[in-house]
Amino acid sequence: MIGRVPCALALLILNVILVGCGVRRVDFNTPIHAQGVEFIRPGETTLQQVVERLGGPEDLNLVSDEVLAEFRWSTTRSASLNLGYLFRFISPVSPSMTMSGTGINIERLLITCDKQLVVRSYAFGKAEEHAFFEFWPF
Amino acid sequence: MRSRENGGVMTSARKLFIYLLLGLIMSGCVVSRGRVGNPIDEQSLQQIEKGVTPRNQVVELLGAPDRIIQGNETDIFQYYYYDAKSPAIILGVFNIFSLNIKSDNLYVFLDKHGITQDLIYGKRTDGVDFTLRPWGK
Repeated sequence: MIGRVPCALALLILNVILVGCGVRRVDFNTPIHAQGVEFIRPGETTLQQVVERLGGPEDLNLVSDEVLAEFRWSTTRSASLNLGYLFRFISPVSPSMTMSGTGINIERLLITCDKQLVVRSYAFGKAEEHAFFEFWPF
Repeated sequence: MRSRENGGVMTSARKLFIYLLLGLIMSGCVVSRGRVGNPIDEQSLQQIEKGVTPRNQVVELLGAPDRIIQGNETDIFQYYYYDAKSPAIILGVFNIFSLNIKSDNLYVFLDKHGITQDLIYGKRTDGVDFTLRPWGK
């Protein structure tokens, strides 16, 4: 009996926390990490070899005698909390009081190649990781 | 006789329990899928030869490009295809939604005479899945 009280209390707290809660995530392409590009040897590795391992670049541009290949991937996290749901416990009417936040991380890897499509150099773009829960919009 | 009746009641109770459990698990489940463009036809791709296939044949095999990139005496035809799978659990009070998108990209390099110089093709859409993962990296 005593053991059931904390259990019920935990369930009640969990219920209050989760009520009106929404979590959304959008992933675009598989993230590329520094370890994943260690095989690239500038002056030796070809763009085709890179593409076979990492997938096709999202963008390709010709700049003077260089080919720029841009690989992009992103993670978008969004969370919302509708505090109005809590009124359902005490009121027949539940107003909408939603706090929500969205964090979009767009990351990229830029590879420069010569005209023969042999890699000259590569660099990662800088992106800061957003928090998983971003309810607080202020 | 009674034992057979009991067995029948147990079976019905078990079935009911399974239906209820299934209903509980499936309730609020949403699965959807979206695509942009057409999948790149790999059979047609194999017919394109470097240094041989002209521009018009590339277009015959793959269709008009989605984008043309122009540079120093080189044109690049870009073909792309996006595939997205989205699982979600909508329980009204607590909702989880995931959207997983992956892309295929094909670039055909053409020289100033319109002959195929190079092909760059990367396929990712084989790996797009219905995994529900709102958390994690």
